[in-house]
Amino acid sequence: MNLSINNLTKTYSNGTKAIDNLNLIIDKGMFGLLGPNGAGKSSLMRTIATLQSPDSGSIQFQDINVLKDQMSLRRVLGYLPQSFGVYQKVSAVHLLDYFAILKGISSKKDRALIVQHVLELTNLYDVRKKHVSGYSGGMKQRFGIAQLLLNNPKLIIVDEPTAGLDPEERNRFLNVLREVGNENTVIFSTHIVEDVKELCTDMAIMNGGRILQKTKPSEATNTIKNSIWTTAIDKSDLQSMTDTYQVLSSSYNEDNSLSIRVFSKERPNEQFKNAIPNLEDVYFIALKNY
Amino acid sequence: MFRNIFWYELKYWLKKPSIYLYLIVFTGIAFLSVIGTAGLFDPVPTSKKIERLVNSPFEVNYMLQYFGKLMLFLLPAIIGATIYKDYKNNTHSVLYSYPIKKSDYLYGKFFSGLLLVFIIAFCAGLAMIAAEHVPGLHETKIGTFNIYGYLQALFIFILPNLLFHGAIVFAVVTYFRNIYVGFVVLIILFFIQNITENMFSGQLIALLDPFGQNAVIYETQLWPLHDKNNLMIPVLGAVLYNRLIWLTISSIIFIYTYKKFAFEELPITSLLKKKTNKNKTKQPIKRLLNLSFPKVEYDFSKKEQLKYSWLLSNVNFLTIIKSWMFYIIIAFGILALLFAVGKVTNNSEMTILPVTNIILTIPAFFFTTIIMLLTFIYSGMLVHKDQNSSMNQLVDATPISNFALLASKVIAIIKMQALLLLVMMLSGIIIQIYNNFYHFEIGLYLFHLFIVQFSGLVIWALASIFVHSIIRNTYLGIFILLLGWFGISGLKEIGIKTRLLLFNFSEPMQYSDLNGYGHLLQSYLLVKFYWLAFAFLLIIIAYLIWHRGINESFKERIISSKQNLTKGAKIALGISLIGFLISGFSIYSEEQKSVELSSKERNKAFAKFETDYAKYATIENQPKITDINLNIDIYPESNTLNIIGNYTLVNTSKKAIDTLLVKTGFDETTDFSISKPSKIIDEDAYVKFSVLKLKNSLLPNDSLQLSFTLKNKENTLFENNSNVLNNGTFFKNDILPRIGYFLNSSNKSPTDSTAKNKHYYSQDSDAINLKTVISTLKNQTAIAPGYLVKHWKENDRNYFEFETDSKIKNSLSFSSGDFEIEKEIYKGINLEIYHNKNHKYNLKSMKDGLKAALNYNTKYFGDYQFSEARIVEFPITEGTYASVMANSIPTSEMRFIANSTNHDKFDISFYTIAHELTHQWWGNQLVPADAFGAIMLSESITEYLSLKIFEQQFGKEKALEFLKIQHERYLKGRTGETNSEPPLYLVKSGQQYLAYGKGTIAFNTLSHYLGKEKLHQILKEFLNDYKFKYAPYPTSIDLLNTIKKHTPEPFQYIVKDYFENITFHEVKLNSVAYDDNTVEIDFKYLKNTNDYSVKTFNDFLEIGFFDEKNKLLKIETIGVKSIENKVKLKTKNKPSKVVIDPNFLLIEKSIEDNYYEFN
Repeated sequence: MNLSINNLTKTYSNGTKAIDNLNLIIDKGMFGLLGPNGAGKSSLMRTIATLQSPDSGSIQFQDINVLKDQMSLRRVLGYLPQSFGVYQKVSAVHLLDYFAILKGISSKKDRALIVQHVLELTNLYDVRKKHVSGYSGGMKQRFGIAQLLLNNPKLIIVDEPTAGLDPEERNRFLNVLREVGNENTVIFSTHIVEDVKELCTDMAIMNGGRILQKTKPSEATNTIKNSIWTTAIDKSDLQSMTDTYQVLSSSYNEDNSLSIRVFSKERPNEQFKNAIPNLEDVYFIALKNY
Repeated sequence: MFRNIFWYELKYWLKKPSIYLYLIVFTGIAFLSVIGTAGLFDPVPTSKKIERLVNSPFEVNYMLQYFGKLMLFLLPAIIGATIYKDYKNNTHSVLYSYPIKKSDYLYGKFFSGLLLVFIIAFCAGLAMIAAEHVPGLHETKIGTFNIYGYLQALFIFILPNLLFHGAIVFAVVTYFRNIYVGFVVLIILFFIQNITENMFSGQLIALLDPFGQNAVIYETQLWPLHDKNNLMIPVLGAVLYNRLIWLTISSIIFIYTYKKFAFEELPITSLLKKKTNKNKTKQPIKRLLNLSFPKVEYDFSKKEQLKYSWLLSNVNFLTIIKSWMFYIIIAFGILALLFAVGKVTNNSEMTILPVTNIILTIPAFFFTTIIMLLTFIYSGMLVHKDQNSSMNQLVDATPISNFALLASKVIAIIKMQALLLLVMMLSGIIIQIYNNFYHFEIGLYLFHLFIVQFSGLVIWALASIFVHSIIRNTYLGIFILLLGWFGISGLKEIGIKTRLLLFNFSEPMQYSDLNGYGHLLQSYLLVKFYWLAFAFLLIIIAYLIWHRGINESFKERIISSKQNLTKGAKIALGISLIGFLISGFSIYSEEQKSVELSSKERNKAFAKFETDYAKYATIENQPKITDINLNIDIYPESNTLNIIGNYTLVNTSKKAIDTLLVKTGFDETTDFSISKPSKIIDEDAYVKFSVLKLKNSLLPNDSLQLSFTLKNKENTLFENNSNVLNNGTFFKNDILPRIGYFLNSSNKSPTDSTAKNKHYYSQDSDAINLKTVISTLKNQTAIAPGYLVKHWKENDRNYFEFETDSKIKNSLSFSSGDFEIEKEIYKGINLEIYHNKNHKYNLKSMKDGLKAALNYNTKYFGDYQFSEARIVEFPITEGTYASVMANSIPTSEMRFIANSTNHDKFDISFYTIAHELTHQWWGNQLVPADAFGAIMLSESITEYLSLKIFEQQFGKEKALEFLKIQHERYLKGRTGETNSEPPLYLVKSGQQYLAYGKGTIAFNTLSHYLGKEKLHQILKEFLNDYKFKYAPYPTSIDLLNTIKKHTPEPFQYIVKDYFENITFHEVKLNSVAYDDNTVEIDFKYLKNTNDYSVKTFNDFLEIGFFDEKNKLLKIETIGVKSIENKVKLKTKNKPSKVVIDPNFLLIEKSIEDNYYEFN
C-alpha cells in the first residue's frame, strides 16, 4: 500500500458533490485517472496535493497522514496543476531557482546543480534564459515538469497535462513523464484514453466524484473480450440503435455513414461484427454502467 | 455597441460592493469635514464676529479640491479597472475577436468609469450642501447658501480634473495593461505639482499645476477675509489657461493611446521591441539517459526558513526595483527633493543653509508620503503576486512554510523602504555638495532616516501586508490603507487624543542642532514600539489566516488558521502581546500623569475666571516692581528648574493701595509671601491668580517685599513642563509672579488718557534693577540680563552672577547652553555671540548687523544704553524669531543657519540683528504707552530704520528688494486678517503685516519726500521727549502730531493717507510716446481711501527713465491732481523703459501696468 484514500468526501458551497465517499489505493508506478470533464478528478488531485481540504475522509501516503501533516507531504510532492501561469519576464533558470528555494534547497550550488539537471531532463536547457511567460504550450508544460522534479518527488500528481498539446509535444511530454515515473508514484489524470494506454500500469475511471472502476489497462480489455461489436449504420438510425443497444461510441466513416460500437455479451444481430476491445470501450462501459 | 458596453460596465460596477464603499467614504468625509469645520463639535463662540465662512465659494472650492485630490485614487480603481479586468481575466483574447469597434469599446469603458467617479464627486458636493444646512452650526462660520460656489468648484475644477487625469490613467492602463501604472501616474502628477511649486514662482505655478489649485491661489492671493467670504473665484486668466493646458496634455495622451490601441492579445509594449524572426524548429527528442538525480540537500529546519525568507525576499525585492515604474518614481522623488530644498536654500526670500537637519525636515514629509504610497501599492502587488500570475497552485504545493512566504513579502517591502531612504540620504548629501556645504552629519542622517522615520514606515509595511492579505481586491486594499492613513488625523479632529488609539501617529519631531530631538525622542520611540508590537500582532493574524490552495470557505479558513497556530506562532503572539500591553500601559500611565484639560475645558475655566474675577479688572492701581533678586537653578539633565526670588514693590501712585493682585506662572508651582500682613481673599488655583487684602494699606512711596519660590510642574514622558532643555534652555520672565489684573490687554485707543499711564510691555513695572545668580550644568554657560559680575563653580555646577548697572525694562530672558562665544570690542562696546559650536556661518553677518545698527542709531538718535550687546542662540524648537531683552538679543537657531553667502538674496542674519539692536532705541529707550498703535512706535520705526541701515550697507538696489518684500508682506498679510484692518496708527499687537510691512512703506515714503535727515531729526526730537521716562508714555498720536508739526503742507497728505487711513493706489500707463527729446506719458492715477475712491487730491508721483541695461537715467517727480493725466517730460536720450513709481512709494496691489518698454 502506497497511497490510500478512504471515504473522501467534498461538497462545494454551491452544492456540487465533487468527491463522493471515495476509496482508492494507488501503488508505485504510473496511475491513470480517467474521467470526463467535471468528474471530480481535479478536486481529488488538489485534495491529495494539499491544496484543498475535504469535508471528511483520510489520505495516507506511505507514513504521512496527508490531511494532518501537509508539510511532510509537500516535501515529497511534485504537483502540476491543470493550468498555471508564471511571473512575467522571468527566465526559466531564475524561476526554477526560485522554486528550488521554495522546495527547501538552501545551498546556492545545490540549486544550480539541480536546476541544470531538470532543465536537461525536460530538454529546456537551450531556452533556459528565455522568459517562461513567452514559452509555447508544450515548453510550458515541460517547465511544469521541471519545477515539479526539483525536490525529487516521491508522489507526482499531474492534472490533464496533455490537454492542448500537439501530437509531437504530447509524445515528448509523455516520454519525460515515463522516465521519471518508474521509481515513484505518479497520478496522471486525463480524459484522453490514449494517454493512459500508452503510459499507465494502473488506472481508474472516475465520474461524479466516485471511482467507477479500478483496473489495469491490459486486464481491462481482457474482461470484455468478445463483447464489443461494430457496424456501419445510416446517420438517421442512430437514435433507434441507442434505444435498443448499449452504444458505446460512434464515428463517421468516409461515406458519411456512422460506425458504432456496441457492448453486448452476444452478437446483437447479423450486421454486427466482432471487434477487438480497446481501452476506450472500457472507459465508456464504465461511464454508461454507472 | 457603445451603449451596450457602457451599460454593461455600469451594471457590473453597480453590483460591486466596493463602489458603494467609495461612495459612502467620500460623502462621509465631505459631510463630516463641513460640520466639523463649522464648529458643530466645538463650544459655541461668544462673539458674533464673522469668521472664515465654511460655505463661501472660496472655501467650498478649497475643500472640494482637497477631496478631489483624494478622489484621484478612484481613477485607477474604477476607470483603470474597467479595462484592466478584461486583461486580468483574459477575456480580452475572446472579446477582441468580436466585431466591436475600437471607439465603442474604449469610449464605452472610459465613460462608464468616468460617470461613476463623477457620481461620487457629485454626491460629495451634495453631502457638503446637506452639511451646511445641519442645525447647530456656528452662525459665525456659515454664510448664506450659494449654489454657484459648488457648481463652480465641481464644473471648473473637480470634474475637469477627474476627466483629465482619468483620461491619462485610462490611457496608461490600456497601454501597459498594468493597473499599478495607473497609481504610479497619480503619484507622478503629485510630484509635478510639488516640483512646479518649488521650481517656479507666480503665474508659472498657476499654469502648470495639474490640479488647478495654484491657479486659484494665484488669483486670490491678495483677497482679504471679506473677499474670501463673498466673492466667486475668477475663472478667467490663470484658471482658464491652466484648465486649457491640462485639457491639451491629457487629450494628447489619450489620443496617442487611442491611435496605438489595437485589439491584440499581447500588450503594445511588446510591439516596441524588435521582433525576433528566428523560426522555431523543434529539436528532435533527445533520449533521456541520465535520470539519476544529483545529490542535493533539502533542509526544512526552522533556521533555514529564515534564510528562505531572505532569499525569497530578494526575488520579491528585485521584481519591485526592476520595474521602470520604480525608477520613474525615484527620479521624480529626487527631483522633488532637489527643488524643495533648493527653494529653501536659494529661492525663497529668506534663504537658509542646507544643514542636515533642514534637509531632513523640509522634504521629509513629501518623501515619506511617496514611500508610504509605494508601500501600499507594492505590498498589494506582492501579496497577490502568485494569485495574479496564476502561479499560486505551484507555489502552494511546495514545502515552503507560510512564515517564509509571508516574511519574504514583508522583508521585500522593508528593503524597498530602506532603499528609498538611502536614496533620500544620498540626494541630501548631493544637495549639500552642490551648495558647497560640507558639514555632513552622517550620524544624524542615519539616525533620523533609519530610526526615526523607518520605525514608522516599518509599522505601515506590516499593516499594509496585513490589510492586503485579508482583502483580496488589491485596489480596495490600497484605498482602505489610504483612508486609514488620512483618517488618523481625522480621529484627532474629533477629539481622540490618546496615543493608544491613534495608529502609528506621532507629531513630527523638530530637530535642533542645540537640543537634538529633546525630550520628545524617548516618548516617540515608546509610541513607535507600542505600534510596532501592534503591527506584529496584525502580521501574526495575517500569518494565521494565510491560506494556500484554492479559495476556501470561511469555516475552512478558521480551521486552517487553527492549524497555523503552531507553538512558534503562539510564542510570537505572546511576546508581541506582552510588548504591546507593557508599552501600552506605560503610555497610558504617562498620559494619566498629565491630566491635561482639553482645550474646551481650558477655555471654560478661563471663561469662568473672566466672569468671576471681572470685578478685579477695575483695580488698576497696583504697586510697581522696582527691584528684582533671583536665584535660578537650571537642571538641564532632568529638565527642571528652581527659582527663589524677591521683588521690591513700591506704591508709585498718589493713592493708598489695599488690594494686591498676583498672577503666577501657569505651568509652574509657585509659593509666595509678602512682607506685610495680609490675607488671601480670593484665589483661582487653575488660572493661578490670587487676590490679597493688605491689613494696612500701602501708602504712596511705601514699599513691600514679595518673596517666592518656584519650580516647574513635574515632567512626564510626553510633556516637558519646564522651559529647561538639555541644551539651549531659553525662558522669559512670564513664568515669574506678575502683579495686577493680567487680562487687561492693550485694547485702549491712543486717545484714551488713561492709556498713557501704562507701560506697553509690563504693566507692573516701569523699570527695574535686577540681580541674578544663575546656576547650571558644569559644561553649560548660563546668561541673565545685565553684566556678569562673578563666576564660580560649586557642587560640580557652574554659577554666574549678573547685575544691571542701570534700570531696565522688565522684559527678561534667561539662557543656558553649551555655547561657544565669539567676542569683539567695537567702539567700547563688548559684542558677544553665544552660539552652537557648528553655527559659525553667520557670525560675521551678525556682527556686521550689530555694528551697522550701532553706528546708524548712535549717529542719529544718541548713545546706546549698555556697554555690551550679546546675541544668544536658542533652539529652533522654541521659535524662529529674535527678540531684544535688556542687553541680550535672544536669537533663534534658524537665524544662525541662514544662508548669508547667497549674494542674490538679502542677508537675513544681518537684518535680524540690525533690527533687534535698533529696538534698543525704539522699544527700550522709548517705551510706548499701552494703546493701539504702540507697535507703530517700536516695530514700524525699527523696521523702517532697518531698511535704511540695509541701504547704507548693501546699496539702493538691495534696499528696494527689501522694500518690495515689505509690500508683499502687507498685501498678503492683510488677506489673513480676521478682523477689519485698522489704519496704521491704530495697529494692534500681532498685526505684523501692518506694523512691519505697511509701517516700513509709510515711513519710507514720508522720508523720501521729507528727506531722510529731516525725518530722523523729527524722530530724534520725539525720542528725546520720552527717552528713559516713566508715565506718561507716548502714543502713535503723539508721534503723528510731532511729524505733522514739522511736515510742510504739500506732504501732509502722506501722513493722512499712509498713517491715518487705509489707502491704495492704482497707476495705469495708457500710452507713452517719444518725440524730439520729449516723452509724453498718458496715465491714470486712482486713489482709494478707506474703500472710497478719492476724486480730489494733490499728490506726488515719480516717473523714472531707464536705459536698456535697466540703469536709471533720470527720475522726475510730478504733481498729480486728477485721475487722467498727460505729462510731457524732457530727456536727453530716448529711454528704453519708462516706469511710474520706480521706488515703490505707492501702495499698489498690482504693478504690472506701471511699465512701458520701447521696442
